[in-house]
Amino acid sequence: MRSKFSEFIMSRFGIKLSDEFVVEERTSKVYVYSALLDRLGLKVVRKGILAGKLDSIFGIKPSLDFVLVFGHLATKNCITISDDDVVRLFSGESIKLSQPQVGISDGLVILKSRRGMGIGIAYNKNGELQSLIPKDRRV
Amino acid sequence: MATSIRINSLRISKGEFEDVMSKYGISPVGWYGEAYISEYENLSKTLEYQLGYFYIQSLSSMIPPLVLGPKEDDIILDMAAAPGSKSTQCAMHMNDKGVVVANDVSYMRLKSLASHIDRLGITCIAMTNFDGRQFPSVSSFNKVLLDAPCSSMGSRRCKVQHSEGRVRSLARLQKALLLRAFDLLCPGGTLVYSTCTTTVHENEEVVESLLQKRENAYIEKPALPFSFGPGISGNDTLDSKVCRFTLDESFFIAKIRKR
Repeated sequence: MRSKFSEFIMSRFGIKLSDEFVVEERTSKVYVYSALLDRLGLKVVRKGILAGKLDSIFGIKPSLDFVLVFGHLATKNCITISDDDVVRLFSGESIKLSQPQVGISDGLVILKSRRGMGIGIAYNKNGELQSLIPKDRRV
Repeated sequence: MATSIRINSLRISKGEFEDVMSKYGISPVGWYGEAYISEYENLSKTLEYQLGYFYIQSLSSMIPPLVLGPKEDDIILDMAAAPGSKSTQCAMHMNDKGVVVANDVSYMRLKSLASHIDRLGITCIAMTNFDGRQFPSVSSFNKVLLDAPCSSMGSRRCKVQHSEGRVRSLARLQKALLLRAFDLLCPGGTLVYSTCTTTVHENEEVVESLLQKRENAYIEKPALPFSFGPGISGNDTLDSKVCRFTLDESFFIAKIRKR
């Protein structure tokens, strides 16, 4: 059975992780790790990366680090931004889109760099992207 | 003071990295293609750091993983892993394939390791929280790294002069950790023992102790990309196969194999 997180990233962003990865939901946190780690048979503290949180505001919110690793796979609700906008995003500023984006709905969006890599996550409201870069990662 | 960094090649190519980092005045380190030096003071406050493009790491501490030689599909144990420079370096050389178990006895120090794993985006690392001396036998590893807790007398951060008793106490711990690390290794496997200290008690004597207790252990002289000094224990056979060197810190390394 697919996890809530897997369902969400598929429906919202079109991201389907390959079988090489396992999605593990633990209370309010979600981790993604290499499937090989399940063969260890060790009591572990944590496997792989913190991929997101089950959030009271957003429901499910993918982490910045998840987007940096897997954001390039997004096919829906993703927007390519300029290098200058990447800097704005990481300073916590909002970004106003200069023209309407076709097929982008209000809610969480994955931002991609000009190279096509996942670069961040934001909340889209009527064409204004509110930075969701965590405060401790802002520059 | 110059800062040494290691590119996260899982996230960015060398060409792109050198391009985006040129504003910080980085220059490559000749003996290791993944390492760079910069005079920029606040590299951890940069956008590129937050994007996981690099890890700030002393040059000397980049050597033990190079001696271990991680490859894709290896199963590696880093027995005293936090804050994670060497575990993440191994994972990077493995292209995030295979398994790295990053263990540390301190749960608090694992938090720091977790933040680096997240920022660098590494999915093949599992963190464990065992006293290395009692690390369970459920898995066997083809490579083990033991960068042992030590008196840090070779480290530039070391401000403390340790007593003889403290050094002896650390040596006892190191011997127990090395023995356990060796026992977790599968036949044919490789174990790298390293410290950032200069005392014979914590270095050559620890390795000698293992060789006396385990007949199937032997030392192999590591191939380093620069010249290095021999051991200083007075045991010529041992001294010729271990290495001591100083880059930004003084390190001791022994490469041990299991028959």
